[in-house]
Amino acid sequence: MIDFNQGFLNILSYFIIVMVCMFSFSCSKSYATREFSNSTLEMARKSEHVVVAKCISSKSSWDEKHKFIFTYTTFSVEEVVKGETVGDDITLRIIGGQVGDTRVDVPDKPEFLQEEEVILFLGPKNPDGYPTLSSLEKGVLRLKVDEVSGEKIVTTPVTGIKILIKDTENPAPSENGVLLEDLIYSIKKSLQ
Amino acid sequence: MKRNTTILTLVFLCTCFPGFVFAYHILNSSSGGRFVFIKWKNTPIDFRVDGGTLEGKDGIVVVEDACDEWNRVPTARTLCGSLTVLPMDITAANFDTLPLLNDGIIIFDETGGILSSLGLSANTLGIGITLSNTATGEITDALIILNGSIPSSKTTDLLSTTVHEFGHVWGLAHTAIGGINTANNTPGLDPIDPSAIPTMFPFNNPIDDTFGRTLEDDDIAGISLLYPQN
Repeated sequence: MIDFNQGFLNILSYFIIVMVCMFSFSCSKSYATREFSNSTLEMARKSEHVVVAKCISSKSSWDEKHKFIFTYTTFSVEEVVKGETVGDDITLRIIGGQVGDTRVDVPDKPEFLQEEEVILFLGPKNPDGYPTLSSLEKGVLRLKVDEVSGEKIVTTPVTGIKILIKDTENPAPSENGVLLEDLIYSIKKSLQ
Repeated sequence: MKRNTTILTLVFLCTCFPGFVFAYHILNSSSGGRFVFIKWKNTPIDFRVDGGTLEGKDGIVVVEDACDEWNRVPTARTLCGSLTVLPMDITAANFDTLPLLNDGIIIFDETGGILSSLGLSANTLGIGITLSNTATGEITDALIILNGSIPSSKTTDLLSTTVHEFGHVWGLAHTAIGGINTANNTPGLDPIDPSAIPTMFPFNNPIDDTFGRTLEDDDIAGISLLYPQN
């Protein structure tokens, strides 16, 4: 009886130690660029385009010379907040991704889920014709639909811009997140 | 019984002192249900360095200084090996002709054109890219691209960026420490002084970016875990 209890206590002790050690070392996906710490407003100012878009597809593949892996993500454009028209669809081509067991890690490279809605801050097109993100880390704001109100909310922290209620000069409440329509209105107003 | 008491006491101490937990992050993979850190199998790592200029000057000096900073960590192995200057200026036109030789390549992107061709923006001060086998956890090749189109200044220090990107090449990701600091007025508990922000924090230091030239405890802890001395 005593041996059984001691054996159980040994096992429990080791289990607890392992659990504590696992929680002590938090690891995450990699991030590997160093960028300017721009606020949302600064990002909007620096960008050629700011668009609301929905991810249609995202796929990684080797380049033609089988040297690097790129991820191609196609979006359908829902609204242009800043800049001239960009067409119905845009495709981002960013180095990084995984094919089989080979992975190219590019820190801060954003990942997108199919049907996910986002705000993209876009820079100029590169020589291959693909638009660039103004910032990997801060060039994407994520959206979600509030389950209660059905309104679209920005889930990524918004900084450096005064959020106003759409079509008013009144500050928007911040308890439940920033409404997409308020952020769009505030960006447009700030860029005037 | 005495041993069990000792073990449980240690566990209790670990949970009561969150200071044991650092905020560095390490590249990792969960391949086939197996968790591995992504790192180089053999060190030190040799580098081929762009034969062109960086901000109109010889960039090898910055690279050497950055290497030295990591090699000075007493609790980690020597990571940076030989630096061989290539007999050519690497540009967007010839960048993809460089063979991968199980080493590192350091590129001085004077115009930002190489970064742009990779889908990255002109706001990128630098980037550290690794190629790895997720099944074995081995980094096989690495690439550092330094953006020479952004002039080095007190708030965008080239050497700090280079030290940072070397960190990624070794397998370190970004640290969470530094997000709340006395420079950005973000509310939070005990904001960190900008001079103490780890080098692996993802953004430039708007107070004085030269602080990033020297590694902080968090950086040292991370690299020492990955590549312990002996």
